[in-house]
Amino acid sequence: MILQTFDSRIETHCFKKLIFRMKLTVLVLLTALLQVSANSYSQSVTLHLKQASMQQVFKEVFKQTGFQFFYDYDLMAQAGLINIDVANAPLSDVLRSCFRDQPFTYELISNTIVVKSGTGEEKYAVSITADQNAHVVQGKVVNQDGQPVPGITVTVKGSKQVFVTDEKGEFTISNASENTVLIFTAVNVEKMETVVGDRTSMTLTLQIKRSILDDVQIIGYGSTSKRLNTGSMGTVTSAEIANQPVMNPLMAMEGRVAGVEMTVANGEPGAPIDIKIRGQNTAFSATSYPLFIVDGVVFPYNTTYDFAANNPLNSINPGDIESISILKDADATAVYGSRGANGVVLITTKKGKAGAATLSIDASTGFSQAARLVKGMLNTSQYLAMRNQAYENSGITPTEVNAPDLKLWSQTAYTDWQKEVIGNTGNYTNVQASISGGDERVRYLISGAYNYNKSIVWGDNFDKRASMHANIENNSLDKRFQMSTNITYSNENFRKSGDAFSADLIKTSPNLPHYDSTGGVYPGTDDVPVTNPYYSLYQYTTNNTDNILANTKLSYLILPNLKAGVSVGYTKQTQDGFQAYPSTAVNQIVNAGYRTNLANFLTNAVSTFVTEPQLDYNTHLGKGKLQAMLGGTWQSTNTDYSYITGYNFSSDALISNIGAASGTDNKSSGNSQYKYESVFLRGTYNWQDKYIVNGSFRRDGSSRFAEGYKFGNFWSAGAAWIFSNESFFKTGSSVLNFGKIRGSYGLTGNDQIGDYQYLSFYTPTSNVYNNISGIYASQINNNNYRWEQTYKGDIGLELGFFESRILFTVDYFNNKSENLLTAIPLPSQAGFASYTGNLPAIVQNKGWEFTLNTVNIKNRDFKWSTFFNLTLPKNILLSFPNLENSPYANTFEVGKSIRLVKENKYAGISKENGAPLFYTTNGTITDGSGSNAANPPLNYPGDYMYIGNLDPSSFGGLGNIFDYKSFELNVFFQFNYSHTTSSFVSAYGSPIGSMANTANVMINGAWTKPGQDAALPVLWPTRPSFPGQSYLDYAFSSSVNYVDNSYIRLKTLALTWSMPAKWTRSIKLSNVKIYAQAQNLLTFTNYTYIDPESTYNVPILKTVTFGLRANL
Amino acid sequence: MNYFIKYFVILLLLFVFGNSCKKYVEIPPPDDKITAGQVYASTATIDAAMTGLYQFAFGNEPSSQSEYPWGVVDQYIAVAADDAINGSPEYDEFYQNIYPSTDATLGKMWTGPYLAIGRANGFIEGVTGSTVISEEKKNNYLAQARLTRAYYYFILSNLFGDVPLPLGTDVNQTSVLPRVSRTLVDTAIMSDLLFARDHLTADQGSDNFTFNQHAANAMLARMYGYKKDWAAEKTAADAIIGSNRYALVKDPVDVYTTGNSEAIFQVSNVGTYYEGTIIGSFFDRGLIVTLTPGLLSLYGPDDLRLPAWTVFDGTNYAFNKFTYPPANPQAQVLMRLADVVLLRAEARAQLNELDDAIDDINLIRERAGIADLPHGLTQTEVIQGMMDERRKEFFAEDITRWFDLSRWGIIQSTMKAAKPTTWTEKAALFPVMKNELSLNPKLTQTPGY
Repeated sequence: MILQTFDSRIETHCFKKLIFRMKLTVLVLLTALLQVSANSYSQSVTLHLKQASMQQVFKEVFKQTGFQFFYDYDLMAQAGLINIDVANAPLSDVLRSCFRDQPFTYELISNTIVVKSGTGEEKYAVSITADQNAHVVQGKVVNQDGQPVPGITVTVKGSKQVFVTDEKGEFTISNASENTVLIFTAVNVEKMETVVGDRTSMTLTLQIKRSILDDVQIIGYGSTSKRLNTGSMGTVTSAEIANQPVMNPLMAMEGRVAGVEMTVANGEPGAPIDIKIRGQNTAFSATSYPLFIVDGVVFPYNTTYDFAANNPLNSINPGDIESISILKDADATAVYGSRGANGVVLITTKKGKAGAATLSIDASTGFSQAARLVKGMLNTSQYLAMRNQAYENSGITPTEVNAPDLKLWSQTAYTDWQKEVIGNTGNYTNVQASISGGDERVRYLISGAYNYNKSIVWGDNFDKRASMHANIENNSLDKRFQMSTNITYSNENFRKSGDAFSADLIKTSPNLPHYDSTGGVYPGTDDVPVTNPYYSLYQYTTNNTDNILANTKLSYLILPNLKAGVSVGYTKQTQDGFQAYPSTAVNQIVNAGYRTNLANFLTNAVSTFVTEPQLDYNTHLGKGKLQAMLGGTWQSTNTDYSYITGYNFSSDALISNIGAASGTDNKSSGNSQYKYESVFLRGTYNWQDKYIVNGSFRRDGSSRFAEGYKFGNFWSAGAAWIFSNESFFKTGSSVLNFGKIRGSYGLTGNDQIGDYQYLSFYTPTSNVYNNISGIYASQINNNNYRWEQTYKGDIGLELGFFESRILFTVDYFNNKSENLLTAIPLPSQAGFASYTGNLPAIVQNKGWEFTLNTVNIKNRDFKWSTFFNLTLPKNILLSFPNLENSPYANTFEVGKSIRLVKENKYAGISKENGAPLFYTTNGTITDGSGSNAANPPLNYPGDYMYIGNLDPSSFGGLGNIFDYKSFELNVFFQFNYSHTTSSFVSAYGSPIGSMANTANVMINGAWTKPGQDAALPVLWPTRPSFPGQSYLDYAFSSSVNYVDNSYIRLKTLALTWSMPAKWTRSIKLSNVKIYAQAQNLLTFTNYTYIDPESTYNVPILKTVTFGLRANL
Repeated sequence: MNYFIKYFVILLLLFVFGNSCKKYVEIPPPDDKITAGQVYASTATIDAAMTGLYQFAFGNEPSSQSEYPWGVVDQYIAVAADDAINGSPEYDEFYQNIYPSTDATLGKMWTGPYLAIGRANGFIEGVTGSTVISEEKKNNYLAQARLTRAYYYFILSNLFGDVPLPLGTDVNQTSVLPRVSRTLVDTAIMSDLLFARDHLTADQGSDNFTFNQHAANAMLARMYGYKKDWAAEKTAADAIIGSNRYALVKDPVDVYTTGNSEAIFQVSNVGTYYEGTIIGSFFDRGLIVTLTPGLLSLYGPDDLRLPAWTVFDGTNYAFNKFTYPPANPQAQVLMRLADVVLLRAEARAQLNELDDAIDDINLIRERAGIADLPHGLTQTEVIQGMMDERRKEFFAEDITRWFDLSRWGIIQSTMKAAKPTTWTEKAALFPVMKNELSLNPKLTQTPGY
């Protein structure tokens, strides 16, 4: 089906060839599958070999049993030739006979037979001794969760007998006696011993060790372990996600990975999330998003045609995610070449697990409120007192025109607009179910989820998502052929009030009438129409997003050390947006003669098709191992959109039918295309787990660049030295058990710009002129822009103490971005708002990242572990030739952050008249009015000064997990030290004392009489006559508006109780967990203008939920 | 099997490396737009671009219309001048002649004209380089585009004084141009207008929505008037009046009626053009902007213009020139015969052809239903009569009092008298938006700000 969809989009001959090749590849892989699956899995072997080498034996054994051999080539050179003729002989016997008389022996680890030097019968790991009293024991090994554990070595104590559990976790011992002691070992389990006694069957539960070092680390186009990786990356696991009642998976990442700065824009459904990995290294626009990859398929993050600017990842159910990996340095990101400059976020969805079919359910529900609100908003009498004071100060007479709140409206009515508009209680409901199971050949997972989030903003606002995820994994018995297919579908539906919800609504006069005599929203008077919050209640936006993600990975092990695979993926996001301004939502005074009602309609579909073939080759080279990977990418993305505004609908009831509109406007539709291809190569050489070097190269081509600039080369080199594996170390300290120094350097790129920016366009006019439709220049071109380049350097130290109970990582990174690719803004006189191009600037992001994981206490009943991360970033504009003649002349300074704030410098309040004062560049203090020599005007840009920057000085998180018997308590704090310029003051634009409510803190301390040393300006009712006449131009953009929004937040508090197994067994359930979770429960900050993270916006939510998880 | 494996490997290698698809990343242009190269390669698309220029520069195009909303600007400037009182606090700053350089309306007064000029420059370059149209048609199209450009430079220089003068499309140059002297701007305007006059026909089309030679002459008459070249002003005005193509509408109510006989250039509309546009709403909200006593006192009790163009609420006369909903379809008028007649009156008065001047003034007075000025007045009296008539005739129109005050050199004295407490000398020109100063370091702020 996917192929058909793809076929329909083929336009070039070249593409047809590609398809042909792809089909051929699939055919080859399928044939291979059929062939190998004809062989049946067996622990017995049939061999008819004469004068065969050991390698031939290994190959045959591998073919028949799936057991792989790891050996040193040098060792094999010493091997003698083998003659063997057995049919259906037990593997152990065959191995024994083959290894007899050889100068090496072997050990069975999991499914792998490791050949090592040494001689002697006593080292044979598998042997069978006869015992007349023996009985057969059938055993099964499961983990804490009751899942079978394959690959556990079972040793009969005091003998040479070794067994290995199979895929079902089972093993059979045919000659156990009463006194037989079995020892269970494996790399990642706690060693365990048991006496067989008279048991003939047993089930053992092993504790899987959670050594972080051996966790699988997903990297680009592959995986490694934390122990061996050479790059810098962070991971958020499904367990961490599961503890947080959030609808968007990205929100679950906040504060948990060093180097990742995240800001959730507001608390509305589907709110945008700003995410920066190691600073803002791309151009000067705020959108330096990383590359998002879901199961290997690029996920579109930025949608141009979108009402809500909502976050596309909202369509992914966090419960379907197995892990989120964040790749940071060149070593990790260069394999994504031209798109890795801003870092890469790899999202891996959950996979089926072998075992009996298990139905898991997880249901939770709870409520949300604003994490913070402004304290001390004035009530009506305080507000009116402030207003009267303002008029008294100004000498202006309040009238019905300039002060309807004092002269026209009730003097006693009181509405707490903040509480009314954003002080509501929302709720959160999440229901998920999944079935997983399978055997050694096929595993599956099917899950469904429903998530409902009611907004705290008034009105019937919600975000709901229904999603389905299916994974099927298939492999041949010998594991040479593997297939993994994921299909995820989700439908997200949200509704919100107000087109762009304005937090200014909370500043509405507390005595504003709600409705007029006709029952409509009170519009104000002809002279003074008002912004009545009730208009925003009736205005609404709905957005319906369908999201399909499908991908299949096929791989085939051609030779024991050569694997070929192909990944084919498809995503499609379809959005239906609708924005309605029914006449009840339109101030008919303001809009008289304009539009009595109107609606915007939007549809938009983004589909991406990706094919990525890949070859993996492993070999021994000298004393080390070489892993090489060769791959390619062909990606094609299509975007279709259409947009129309209808107005003056015959009735509000028909507002969703464009046919009822008496006029239309803003009509446009079209599509754009993005194609991308690359070839990449990566090699990793690991010398005895001590020295690891890693290099990658990638050549990319993108349709977003003009002819001659389409292709670019990217590369990286990384190295790690695991010094704890050096012999001098092993004998020494037992305190430090792991030590690694790693470093990397490389070049990555960025092509995050719109399509076709190198073309100059004419677009049809939206309306006709003189009954004719025309065209006009809508885009100017630049043929010469090319990739943005980021050189990334990273050096890291990783240490493990006390058997890795303490793991410490520190990274120093230093990234330099050049040829910054951005929409370069233009003054109006150039005729266009911007054009795309490279800036000659060099931006540096450098800093330190610290991560610490500790297990503080660990005994039978109680475990306390801590994880902590801290980032100390620094952003510097290193150089910008000809900055003084560029559009950035007044905004940026070489040597300062690119998020610097250059504004008028506040100098306090005039004792004379209560006006705010500012410094000029030469140090004079003025109110900016220019009214006399003592108060010179403030010049722009001359008197703008460097105030500070908006970069956080540090951010991070601190988590603690307490396990006591069946209880687990998870406490996670997130913190951020930074400044913002978003405050009450900037939102004003008019003096405090004008017709807008405010908080106590903004009026207590206002100037009242000459000579007073006041902290706040004089209360004044209107802008133009304000002393100093400076409000809009100066106070509006000055340092007084630059405030500290540092905060520490109790991001997650989760308490989980696991019901004892003996209780649940009787009700045929397992793994029953009851939990309570809270997100953003407490916030500690000095920021007073709503919330420090979402600043002057709908505050982000604090959510408390209760839930239950169980397996059936 | 071995054979198979080898084949497979070779195939994959070929797949990755083999004659790799260099053409893969070459994509065709999108089908919802036309590239600039295509536009000037066919006459049909050049025609469309010509229409598009009018629509973008003057019409109700959402991407541009909000940038220079006629009605809004006209009323704000009327409030800034001595014609209107702010009925609503939103006009306060203009009324007090304090213009914050972050004010949105002020921003549009700068950006709107420049965006239109940018499109005109692009069209001029495209047409100049085009090989598919005849020389005659080429010049005709160039004339219309250059008239558009001249029109907006005229507006800009009157609002802001010295302004940057981009005449091309290379943004590397246009984006860093400093202000140039008004004399230079005027020279450029004159050059465009003269070209337009020489290459436009008298009858470009039967409608009022396209520039013709008369439109060029109407602008020339203004420019000569501003330059005090009275003879040339008279000649230009004569050319229009003498053509008899236009006639004053009988009833002042009809000056904005679509396709009326007086309009030399009107912005195209379809039916009730302003319905559903931001302009419509501002004209309607104009009801809260009321006439100053100074202006009101000029109208006699019988003046037909007062009831036609205002609404009397018992206390105040509120602007209602562009009525909503209109009795007849209306459209914004940017040039009309009455202006030309009064420009000729000005020229004649200055040339001391006083009775002729009085005759011209009386054409307007008669239409307004008020008594003629008698022949035999002094030159000063005639000029004053012309000035008063202009003020009464064009309040809150694009040909604003603000411009007249400025060119007659009486803005300081008049405004100081009208607003003794708040008027400052610098207020005669508007400040440039902070944002513009920021984006072009070569651009300086208007003196005094």
